[in-house]
Amino acid sequence: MKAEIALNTRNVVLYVGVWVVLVVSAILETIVILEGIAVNPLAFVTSVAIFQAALIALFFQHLREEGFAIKGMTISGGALVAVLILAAVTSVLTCTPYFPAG
Amino acid sequence: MNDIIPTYDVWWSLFKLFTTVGLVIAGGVTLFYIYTLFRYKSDTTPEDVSLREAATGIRRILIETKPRGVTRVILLLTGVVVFTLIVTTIDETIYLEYTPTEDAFPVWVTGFQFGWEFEYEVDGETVKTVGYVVLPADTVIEFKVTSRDVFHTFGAAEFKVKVDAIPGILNTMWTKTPPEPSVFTAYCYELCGVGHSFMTAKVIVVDKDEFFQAYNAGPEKFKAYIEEVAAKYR
Amino acid sequence: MVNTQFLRGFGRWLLHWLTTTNHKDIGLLYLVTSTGFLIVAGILALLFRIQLARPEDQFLVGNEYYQAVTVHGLIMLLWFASPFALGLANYIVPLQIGARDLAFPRLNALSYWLYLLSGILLIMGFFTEGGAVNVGWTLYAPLTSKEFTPSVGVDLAALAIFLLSVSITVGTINFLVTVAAMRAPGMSWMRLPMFTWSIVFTMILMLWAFPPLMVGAALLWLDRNTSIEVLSNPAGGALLWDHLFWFFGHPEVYILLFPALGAIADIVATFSGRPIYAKKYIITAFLIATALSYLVWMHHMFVTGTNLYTRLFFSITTIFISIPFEMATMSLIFTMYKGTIRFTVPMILAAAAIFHFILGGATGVYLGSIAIDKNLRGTYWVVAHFHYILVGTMLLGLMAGLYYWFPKITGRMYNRRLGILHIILAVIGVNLTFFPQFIAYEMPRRYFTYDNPAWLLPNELSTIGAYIFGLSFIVFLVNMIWSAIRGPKAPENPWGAWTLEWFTKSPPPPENFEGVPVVKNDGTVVFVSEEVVEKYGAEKVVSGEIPATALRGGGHASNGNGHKHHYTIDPFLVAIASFILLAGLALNKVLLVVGAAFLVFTLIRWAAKDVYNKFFEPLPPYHETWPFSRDKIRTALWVLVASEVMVFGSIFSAYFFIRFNPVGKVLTEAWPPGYLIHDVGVGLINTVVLFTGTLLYSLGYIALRAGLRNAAIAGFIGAVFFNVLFLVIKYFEWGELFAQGYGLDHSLAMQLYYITTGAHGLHVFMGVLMTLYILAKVFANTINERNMNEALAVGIYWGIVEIVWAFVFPLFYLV
Repeated sequence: MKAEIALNTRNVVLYVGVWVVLVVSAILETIVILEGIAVNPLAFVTSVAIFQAALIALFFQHLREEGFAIKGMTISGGALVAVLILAAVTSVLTCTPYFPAG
Repeated sequence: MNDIIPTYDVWWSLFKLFTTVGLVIAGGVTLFYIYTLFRYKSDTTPEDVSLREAATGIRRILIETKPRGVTRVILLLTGVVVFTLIVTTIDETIYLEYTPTEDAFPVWVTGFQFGWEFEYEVDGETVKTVGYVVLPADTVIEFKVTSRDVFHTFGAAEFKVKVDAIPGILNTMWTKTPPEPSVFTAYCYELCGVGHSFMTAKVIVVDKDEFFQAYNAGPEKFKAYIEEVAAKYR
Repeated sequence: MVNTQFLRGFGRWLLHWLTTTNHKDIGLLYLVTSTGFLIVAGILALLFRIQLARPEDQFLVGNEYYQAVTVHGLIMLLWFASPFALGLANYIVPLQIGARDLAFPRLNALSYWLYLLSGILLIMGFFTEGGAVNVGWTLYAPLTSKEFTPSVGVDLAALAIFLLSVSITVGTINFLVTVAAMRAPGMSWMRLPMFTWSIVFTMILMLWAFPPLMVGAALLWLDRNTSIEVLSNPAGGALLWDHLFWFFGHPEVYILLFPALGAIADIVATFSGRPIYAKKYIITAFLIATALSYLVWMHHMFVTGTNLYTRLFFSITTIFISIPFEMATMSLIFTMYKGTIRFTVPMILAAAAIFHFILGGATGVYLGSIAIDKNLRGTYWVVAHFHYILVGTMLLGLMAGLYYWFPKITGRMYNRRLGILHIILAVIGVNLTFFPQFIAYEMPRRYFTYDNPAWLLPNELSTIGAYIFGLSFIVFLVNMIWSAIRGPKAPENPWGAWTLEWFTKSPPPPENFEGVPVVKNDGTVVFVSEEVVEKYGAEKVVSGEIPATALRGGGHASNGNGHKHHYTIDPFLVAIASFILLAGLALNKVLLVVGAAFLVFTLIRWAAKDVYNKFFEPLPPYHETWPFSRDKIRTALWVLVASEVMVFGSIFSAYFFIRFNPVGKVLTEAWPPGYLIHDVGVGLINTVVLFTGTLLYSLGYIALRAGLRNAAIAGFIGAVFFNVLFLVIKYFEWGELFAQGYGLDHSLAMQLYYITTGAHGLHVFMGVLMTLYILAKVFANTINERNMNEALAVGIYWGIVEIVWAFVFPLFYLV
């Protein structure tokens, strides 16, 4: 019982800690963007978001307690999203916009 | 411009290459398959016998027949063939993609529901035709294709190339016209509405010298010339 | 008197089918319904083949022709092919893995009813003004926009596809969890039959292929019915739809093909008298094909003029994908090689399907080359190629599967002579229909008239072939129906096969097996009573370290709720309510309101039973679950999360596509940074609010675990409060934006903002409902050690809601 309480206390501390990191990182990224510090804002906020997503998944969703199959599935889903976005964006970058007259 | 291999020749050579490889591999597999089917046909007749001898004895799960080394050899062979197919065709793919000469004759193509509009630029002025296009023989043509409304695809079987006509985007497609004057049809290859089946255009290939003579004579003479040519094929 | 008795009997019969959740019943429903859809789509094909037999016929032209072509394609691919495979899978997979049912029987019933009603939604289009959807099954934008196709048929199709995607996602979760966590003791992954393996891969494909389609269908509906123009504006438009659609569209081909290949593999093994050759290779081949199939979709876009190097990448992956399939084919042939082949009806049909697969596969390699595709795109070569795969391989393969499992499903044998007649007609039909189309390889697709005399003979032959194929189908139907009623009785294992489904009665009893099937280390299958497994532990039974007396008798499963308690009308009601809601969206506002109210009512009705654990049935401790946890709800939620990742990923792909599209830059100037439009402060506060809600939920869950009921209630109420607060703030934010002129008609950026935050808000709302459900369970004291994982599952759901917001906030508010 004592061990359980100790474990729970640790978990409470851990969760609150993750929450603090999430909130602070959101505030920091806002400041960085508004101050115009980031060289490539889009890449910067995407990286921050991926970092936050990893924290949420690992702790609030308990992903770290799952087996390799669930971990692999989650990562594959994310990877496929990246593939879709990369292919869609690179495919269209070189297109020539053109609107016929009339 | 004479040393430029026409798109249709490139296409045929690739088509023949794939057909040869396909016939060898798929044909070989098929022959082996047919041999297997006949050679290992069981003498017992199928449904009725098994019904009588309904297996009730040992219930056992079998997993697999162990593979022999030959499987890996076959895998390796197909890998090599496929890799060769890709590598040998990349050059042709890139060749078909970009117009091989700067002297290509430009024609603007605009798809609409339901037809094709063609534009020539003659001395800075635009000459338009709808439903037909007159082209010089034995010349590299660069089509600049777009659409006014929905998604179309411009192409003709004689060119062996086609490209999508997408609203808001200019796509280019090059081809070399046949060496002799001829007439054929360009089609729309993407469903674009109820009139899709009627979205064709006559492609009229005329003598090269005659064409450029008219072309160099200015917009009005050129317009009269292509209308006259088109009237012959109505 | 007789009459009332008949009515009562009929009522009971009807009630049984409306309320059943047994996987075998649902399987039969799927098989019968999809066959019905096959007949509808087949008749459409026969109609337009008449039109095409002559160059200038006036039998079926214009709008009518395109309705027939479009609905034929949509039904065959989405409402016949995969559901037919799902029907077989529903019936066979639990039997093959030694489970008593699927993991979530009620969700299985829900999948079925949503599927049936979505199909009806699509077909309803024929009875509206302007007719059914007529823009081709690929629904290319911007032809689908209201400007070019005003008919309500397109709306119905979009909504039908949306509803079907929901059904498929629910089914995917169900099947994956079943195979992951409900295999009989000793049934390791390698021992799973090929059919089950193929269904596993099919489900993995469905999991990530359908979300883009679902998002696409929703965008299509929004595009047509609001001022959102993501698909009709050239900045998104045609190419964005191409990406979303084909990201679904290509895996879909393998979704259709895999179950047939799996069935063929089982059939070939059984009738060659030896197990499948090189099973590890064939499974690896399936795995590679599954992974690669997500990387080949742009070969449908080879002539779009997009970046050459992106297309070259997809050309290479496309040609490479032929290797795993070649591997699978060789494995099938090597299984027969040195075997003893018995030519039963399913075996002959499977053998024919392999022939068609070789031809259809080889002709598809051409289309993997960009250069060759430049001429073949949009022609009958493509039509012939994929019909050889879909009809010649998939349809014949699945029919072979139906013949193969017919004795198991009906308990009777089919008629061999009619079967042979069917095969002869079908093989002639397929080849006569589709081979001539290779000869007319340059004829444009979807033309109802044609002017080239060289195309006349192939088209005539094709039409004759189609009618022969239609005739073969009548023979097939007669055989199936007649044999199911009058055929000779079939024994347990008529083929002498060695997979688990043949080791039980034909047809199997409701609980599938008498006792628990256990696969011992040497592969022999024993049936032991549940008490014995629980007493000695599954491992000991598998290794055979238990006294022989314990094995005797087997005995009935003693698992708590028998199947009687599983009848429920809830899935049917929820499906009907969703159907009314969506039909109302397209047709009538009154229906919409009625449907919405009804849906709320039915969902509460469903949830209320779960608050009191009426259907609660924990998994017995002896199933094989490696490498997954024993906890099916947790696994299910992770599968759902994986699918949600793709849902929002598809929306974000629209965001990035439009943002980088040079056409958009020309049209709307550059995309303005978010902080110029949005109030960053409000966004940041809302971010903190949402994060806090999830934190409180997690703390509540810890408290619940620790037995601190009041703290748990406080945590959950806090989570509800903060998430509702989030929605309230969002509501005022939207109102403010509208008031400032940043409404839907402002720009594509704003439209995407409303779409994304709207979809996210909907998820927050559903999370609130789920949290309320957990709260109700805490208040009712019905949550305990055994179903605590439901609370964990809702936590996992909150996680994905939060993750999505972690992307939404910076991408829309900041940059």
